[in-house]
Amino acid sequence: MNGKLFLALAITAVCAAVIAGLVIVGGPSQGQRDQFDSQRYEELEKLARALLCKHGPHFPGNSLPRELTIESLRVHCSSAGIDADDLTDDETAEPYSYQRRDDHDFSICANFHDTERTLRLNNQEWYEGSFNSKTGCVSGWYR
Amino acid sequence: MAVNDRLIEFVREALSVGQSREHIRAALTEAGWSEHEIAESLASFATTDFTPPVPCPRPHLTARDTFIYLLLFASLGFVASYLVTLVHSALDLKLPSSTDSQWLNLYATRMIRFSIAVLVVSAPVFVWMTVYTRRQVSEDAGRRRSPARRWLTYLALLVAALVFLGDAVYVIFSFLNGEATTRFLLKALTVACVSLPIFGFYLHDIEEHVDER
Repeated sequence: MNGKLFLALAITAVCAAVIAGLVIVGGPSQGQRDQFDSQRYEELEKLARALLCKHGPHFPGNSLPRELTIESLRVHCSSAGIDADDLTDDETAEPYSYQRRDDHDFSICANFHDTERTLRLNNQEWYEGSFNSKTGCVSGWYR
Repeated sequence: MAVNDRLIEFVREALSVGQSREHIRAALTEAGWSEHEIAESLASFATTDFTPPVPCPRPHLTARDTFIYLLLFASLGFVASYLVTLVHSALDLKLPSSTDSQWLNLYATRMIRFSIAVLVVSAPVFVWMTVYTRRQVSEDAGRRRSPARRWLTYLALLVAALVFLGDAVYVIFSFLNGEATTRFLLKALTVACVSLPIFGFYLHDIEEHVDER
């Protein structure tokens, strides 16, 4: 194969692949959005696990905390390993929205850029809580 | 002293004292040297009547050539492997299968970004090094004899051939196993489309200068 033809083929193939790759996964701003969304997703999962507290002490009559604060979560589930950073959205610095419907029923929501994409790019194995990709909320029922 | 060096030394001395090439050939044949060894040792000296015998240029390994050709072939390896990785990852995202791991989307997305980064860096290095070495070879015939160039070109040929043959074996195996999906066949085609031009280009490059040792 001729040298110039080979180089032309190589340059064309690499340029086409790089452009196609950028179209498929998006550029740097999409990468940043993916990272923020993944962080939200992980933190919602962590908070849901802390609220469900599968590995902590269970007392009869235990109920969900009234507010989502680091102190209330530590009392509710000392084994949760939650940090103050986990309670707020890293991009907006706003706290995640916590709805306590009753003593056992809760949901925590975040504003995702793209929930469907986040679900595809992350671990989809939620345990007791369930993630709703339409609302961006995780809900659970504490026993 | 290596055997070939002893042979070349003998030929040099024989030519110095005025022995003809035919006489030297006959003496060496009688001593048990092979036709190839005799031809190669005689070819080490120019066919002129000048004495002492004039040595023909011989290939020699230099650190500079080794550096240049290692960089060239390393960049070729990066370009080829990450071009394939990028296309494979794109196929994973665009043609999902029900048997895919839940992590495949994340892995493929990251691999596409990483492959783009590798290609953006290594492709210009490969193109520049190829243009540079080809210009050097065309300007100076001595550079064609570089052992680093010869050995690494043959190594690239071997790797390209093995990749292509392995790809063909895997396609047949998967076909027989009933696993030849569209995605799989497109991935195999990608490997073939990358390895075959590399093989063709370097084979042509070697054959173009096959008589220049």
